Amino acid sequence: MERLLLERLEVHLDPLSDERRRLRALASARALIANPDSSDSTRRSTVDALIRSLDAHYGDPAFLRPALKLLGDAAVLHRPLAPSVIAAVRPFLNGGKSLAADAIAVVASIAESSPEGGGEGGVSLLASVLDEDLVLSLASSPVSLVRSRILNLLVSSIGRAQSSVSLLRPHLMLQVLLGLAVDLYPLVRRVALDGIMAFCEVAGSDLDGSIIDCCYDRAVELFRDEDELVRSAAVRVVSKCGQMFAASKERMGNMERMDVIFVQLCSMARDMSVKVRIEAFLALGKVQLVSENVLLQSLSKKVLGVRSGSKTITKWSVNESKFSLSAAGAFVHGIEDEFYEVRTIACQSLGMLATFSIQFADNALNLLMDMLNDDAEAVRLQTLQTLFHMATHDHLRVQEKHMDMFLGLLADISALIRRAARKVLQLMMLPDIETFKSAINCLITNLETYPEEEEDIFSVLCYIGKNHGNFFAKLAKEFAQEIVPSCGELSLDSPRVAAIVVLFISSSISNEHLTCNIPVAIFSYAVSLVGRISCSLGNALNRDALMAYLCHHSEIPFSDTTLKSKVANEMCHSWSLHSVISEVKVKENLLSMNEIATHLKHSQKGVEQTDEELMQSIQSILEKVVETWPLIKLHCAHEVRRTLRTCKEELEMIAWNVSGSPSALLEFALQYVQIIQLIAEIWEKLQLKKSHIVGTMTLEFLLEKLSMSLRRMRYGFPGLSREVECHIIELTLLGFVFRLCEVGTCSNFVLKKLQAITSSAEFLCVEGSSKLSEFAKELLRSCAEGGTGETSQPFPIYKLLELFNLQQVAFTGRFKCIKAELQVFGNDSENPLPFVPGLPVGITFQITVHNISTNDRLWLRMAVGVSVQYVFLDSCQFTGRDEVRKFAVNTPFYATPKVPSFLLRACMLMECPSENVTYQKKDQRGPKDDIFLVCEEIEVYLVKIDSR
Amino acid sequence: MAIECLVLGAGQEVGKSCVVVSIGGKRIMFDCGMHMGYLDHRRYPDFSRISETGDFNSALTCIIITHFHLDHVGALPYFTEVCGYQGPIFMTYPTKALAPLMLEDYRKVMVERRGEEEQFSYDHIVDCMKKVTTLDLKQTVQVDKDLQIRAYYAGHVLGAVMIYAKVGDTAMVYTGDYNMTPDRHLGAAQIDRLQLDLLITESTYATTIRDSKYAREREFLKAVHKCISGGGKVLIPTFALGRAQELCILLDDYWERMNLKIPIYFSAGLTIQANMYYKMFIGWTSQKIKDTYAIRNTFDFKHVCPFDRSLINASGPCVLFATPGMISGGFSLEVFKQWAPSEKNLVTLPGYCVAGTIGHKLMSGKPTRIDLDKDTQIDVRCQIHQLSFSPHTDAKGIMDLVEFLSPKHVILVHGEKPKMATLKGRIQSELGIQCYDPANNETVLISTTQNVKINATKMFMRSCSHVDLHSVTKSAPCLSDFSFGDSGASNLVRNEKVAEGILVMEKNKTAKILCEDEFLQTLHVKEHNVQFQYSRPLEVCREQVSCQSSSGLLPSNGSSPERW
Ligand SMILES: [Zn+2]
Repeated sequence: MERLLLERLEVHLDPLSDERRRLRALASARALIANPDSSDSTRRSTVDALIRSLDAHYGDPAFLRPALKLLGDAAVLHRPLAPSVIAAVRPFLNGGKSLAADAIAVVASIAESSPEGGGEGGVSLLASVLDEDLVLSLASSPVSLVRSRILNLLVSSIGRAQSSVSLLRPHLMLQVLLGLAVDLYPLVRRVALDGIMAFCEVAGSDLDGSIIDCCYDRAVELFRDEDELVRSAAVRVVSKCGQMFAASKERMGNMERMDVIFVQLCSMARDMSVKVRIEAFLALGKVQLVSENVLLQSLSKKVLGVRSGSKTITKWSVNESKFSLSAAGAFVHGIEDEFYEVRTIACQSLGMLATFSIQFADNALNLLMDMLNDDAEAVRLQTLQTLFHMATHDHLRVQEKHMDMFLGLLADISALIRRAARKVLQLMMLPDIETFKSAINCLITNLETYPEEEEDIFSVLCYIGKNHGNFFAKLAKEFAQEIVPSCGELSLDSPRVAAIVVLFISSSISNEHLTCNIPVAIFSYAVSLVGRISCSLGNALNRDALMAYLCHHSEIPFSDTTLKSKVANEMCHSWSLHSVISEVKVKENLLSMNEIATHLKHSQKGVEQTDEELMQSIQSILEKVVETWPLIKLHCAHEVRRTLRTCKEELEMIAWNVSGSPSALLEFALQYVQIIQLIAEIWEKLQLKKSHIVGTMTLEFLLEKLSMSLRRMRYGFPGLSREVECHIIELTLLGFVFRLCEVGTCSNFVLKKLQAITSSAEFLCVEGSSKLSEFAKELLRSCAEGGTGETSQPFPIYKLLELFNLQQVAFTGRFKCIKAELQVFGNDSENPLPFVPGLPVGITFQITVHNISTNDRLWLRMAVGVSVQYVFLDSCQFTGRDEVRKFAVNTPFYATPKVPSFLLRACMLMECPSENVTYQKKDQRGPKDDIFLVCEEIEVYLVKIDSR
Repeated sequence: MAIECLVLGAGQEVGKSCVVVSIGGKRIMFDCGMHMGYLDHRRYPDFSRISETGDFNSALTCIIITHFHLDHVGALPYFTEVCGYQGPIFMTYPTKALAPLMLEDYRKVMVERRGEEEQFSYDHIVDCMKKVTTLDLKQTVQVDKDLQIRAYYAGHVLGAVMIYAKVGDTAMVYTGDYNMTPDRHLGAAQIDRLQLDLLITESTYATTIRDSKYAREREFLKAVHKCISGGGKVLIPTFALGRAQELCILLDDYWERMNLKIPIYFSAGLTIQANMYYKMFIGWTSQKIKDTYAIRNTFDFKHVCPFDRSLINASGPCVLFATPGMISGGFSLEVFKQWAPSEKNLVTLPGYCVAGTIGHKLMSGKPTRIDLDKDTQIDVRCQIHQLSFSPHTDAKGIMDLVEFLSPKHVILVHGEKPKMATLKGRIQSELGIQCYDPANNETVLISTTQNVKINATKMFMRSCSHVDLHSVTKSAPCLSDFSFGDSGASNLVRNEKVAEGILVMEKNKTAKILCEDEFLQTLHVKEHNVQFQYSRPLEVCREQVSCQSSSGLLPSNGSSPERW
């Protein structure tokens, strides 16, 4: 049958047979190739026949076009045919006639499907077919389809090609892109602009200033293009160029230019096309280094006086009055836009810019407060989000006139809005005692209307009480009178009373001097509220400590008096000092915002940032993190903490609308920030230690936490680049040096371990191209000395610390993230699991693991007080081979204590695959020493079976 | 070609918009409005200036009405039915639906209340509307062989449009009234980037720059909320169309969000009918309403119910919309009489009230007592809130539009004289565009640039449409890294396009441009090569070189080739 068909094919492909027959022949050829049962030889002969027919039909596009397409498909289906197909297609590329377009499509489809997945292999294949001259002649072909196809090919090759292979040398590539950016056809222009964008991204900071200039100029030219998509692409390019100018070395010389870019983007914000406006506002949010008066101009439709230092403006040939005119009120228009997408983004960008200038933040606040009345829920939410962002940057200075509108939101019908509004309120510094009072009243009304939101409302009350102790002090008497009736009992069922009690407690905890003014009765009332209060405080305060504190003040006998006062003291301390609390809250907030985001996700699809942009922003945050290093060295602890906290918040902000691939990088970045935070803390502690002794307990704790996190970094992200791995190893080494510094001496074990790690660093560096840092070299040397001579001189710790330098690394996102989620269904403080003291209790954990391979050793750890139990999780239990797997584990916990109820903490650990030097704890059944957490710790509530 | 622009109304004033523009032999009348401030002949544009003989049908090509406001459509029945214009009239669907409501309402007031002699009858209105051709947004209408018109969304009121008109190469836009910022029920004006010789724009707010609409909304909501939470009644006198719907959406939305249960009433009559039209013309409303109407039509107000006269003196708070807007009579006056004496109540006033109305009296200082007539007096103790909503664009918006369109000339109409002069100055100095602000019955003459059309061959078009990257490449230094010096960088952007061709004047007198390659073929001649040889006399004593050189010359055969 095959043979028969083949023969008939040969005949019908003859140029002399009529057209219908020939086309039918092509159809049967397609069938022969596509049929899975065809033999390889049949396929080959079919293709050969087709190739022969190409020559015979020279000059007959009606036949050649489908034939070429068929050949391309054949080569994609059956890889071995590719070389001969490519050879046959190659001649059609010459001359740049319209058939060249089909030929390009064939080559592109073959390259795309190359075994290496269109990656480097695809590009090298392309490069072997298309030399530079050919590419250039195709790119200047008079046929627009040819230009557009070759351009698409070029653009998709950018970023894929590693340095070894590329289709065009960079300067030629840029020439082609810039040339085609003014093509007659909008589609070509748009793709060329996208190409310029990709080009800039790949080149990154290596790009010369004059080249950025060229890209920038070309893009600005296209601001007046007729096609809206070209204009949006141009806005993106200008935004990118702006970022590159801001990042370049001569950034200070670029200040004036940044103003110009900002103004140009502002003028695009008045474009008639929604798409362009969206891009323009996105871009405005990313501009940096803009001078304050230009920023302020964008908030006012009236032209605000003549700018100072106008002489340089002429350099950019921008008319002075026009300059202010086009910037005028860009944001006022943005927040009034007809499309909620534009309003949302304008609002978001306002928040970003508000971090640069207090004055801008203040003026922006007037606009933002008005937006709380927008008719789109998405916009109201984003506004709250922006306010929250400003509050975390200490740039939120509310005035009395704003409060009306804002407090009105507490009565909003949407629970999401109410909640988000409370989150902002929690961080707000209220301007005066009147607003304080009305805020409290609004919260109480809120509580009365929505009792189910009690937890959240209590928590806000706590924060307000804590932050505004002075206001509260003035009102304390009034409040006390209100809730303590002349004749005894007060009813805690009344939300109002409960709320005020919460306020009393929170402000007394943080402001010790207030305590004496508070009627003792209130403390004793509060005791009955303890569960509800501690719940809303989450991790910040634990229930027992709160209980002890309240008992102490209410003079109720409490079992252990020393503990009582100690706990109470400690609590006050931690409450007022520890920024961790607010951090925890911040994190929580963002998580809850995250929930909100998912609600809106479908509506925001159109404007969602691309992965690429996300990576970019994460990258830039990480850069900011690394930039804190000199500050850490200089012991600017406060500044460092602030910056890092901001970075962390920004990352969490990003976590908002992300799902899928960039989350690994995100997770990585979060972990990284935490590590730098820890290092900064330790650095600070060590410095103190030099002068006077502080408790080593916490230092030890920090060090342990650091090494745990570093292990997570090193082993929890398979697929990290060598450079990054080296970077992490250096940090690990730094951790060890810290440890040495703490102990003062160098134990044999630590030394061995150090050596092992240094050598692995060395190994990595030899393998890769990066160099070993001075710090690592010095450490290596010291280790070598320490290893040989027993009585070596003390380790040159401080010298080492001096040498250490945190370097910028490109954290490329092609890695995965190992993580897990642990859950016990239906268990919470209200629904505890039953147990019999002394007998084992079975607990069913629902486990979800991400990116775990069969070689990984996972453990489940359950702990109650000091007793810890490990359970090994056999990887065969994980069903399926997907990235994400779910399963349930039912495991007994043996050491149930003899108490009415207890809390079990559970988490999942992973053993580090291969740390050479380990020492096994002999008597313990559990994992090796080197482990790291792969999930958040969860709590399981258990209660004695008869006490329920 | 020149444009001649005769301003019959709204020149340096607001009222009776009417501009007659002549382009290339076509004469278009934009809007045909009446002036509400006059009762004599000045109420209508002076139509005699169009044609002294009164033969309007041959004098005008067509009439285009931008929106249903009386100062834009009021004189139309008079012009068609009384003056006898029979030519084409264009307006949008909503305008065609709503304009008769406005006209009939006005006619009734004039005839029935003031007992005036009627200028046109109900039948006139009906007959006039029968002659109207409807326009859709962005629909290009070929009025006749040469004249082409297109409507763009203008905001302002339901169905309002800006009109683009083109005759030959000459193009212009007449904006009518427009709004560059969206409100609760209408979108912002929207237009393409067009090549224009003339832009005629309104300039109601020639010097005002308005702040964000949110502030206005907030003030309004705050006042209303405060009043009803104090148990008071709110009276909102409005015009039936436009403002009423916007405020209603605003309140309905606020009620929904704040979970308020206090009733909002709509007084019967015109407004109910208007609401029906708003529901029908969803396509002309704002994006938000368009997006959500499948789920719920915004104009099906949730919290709004029809008002019954018996409710005027019912106890408890409420909000009431009533016509007319300036409390000049009718239902709003009736309610005002009842509610004004209580300080708990609130009355809102529209942004503009005609002198003599109660609205105007309330606006100018807060009187405690108003004399309605000799026998009736009203004690005014209620609170007054002045609305500042306006459907017109502000000065910033006008400047933005002018800059966006960048026409060659601008004419300002529909504004106050001194303010228009200021704006005119700004347009000329800041944007460098010639600007005029003619008074009524003045004519502005604008000369336009003359374009000569030539044909081009396909091959020539192709040769223009791409850049020869080779030529650039070869001159550029070949460096492989990312920095290639100043000369390299400037090379990158220098690839300005030069297209070469030959201009041929064909027998039929049209010029045609073609590529060099096609040239001989077009002329049906063969290529001749003239070759020259060196002829060098060999002389021993004196060296003399005479050499001539030239590129191939073309034989001349009657047509005149030129290098282009
Ligand atoms: Zn109007």
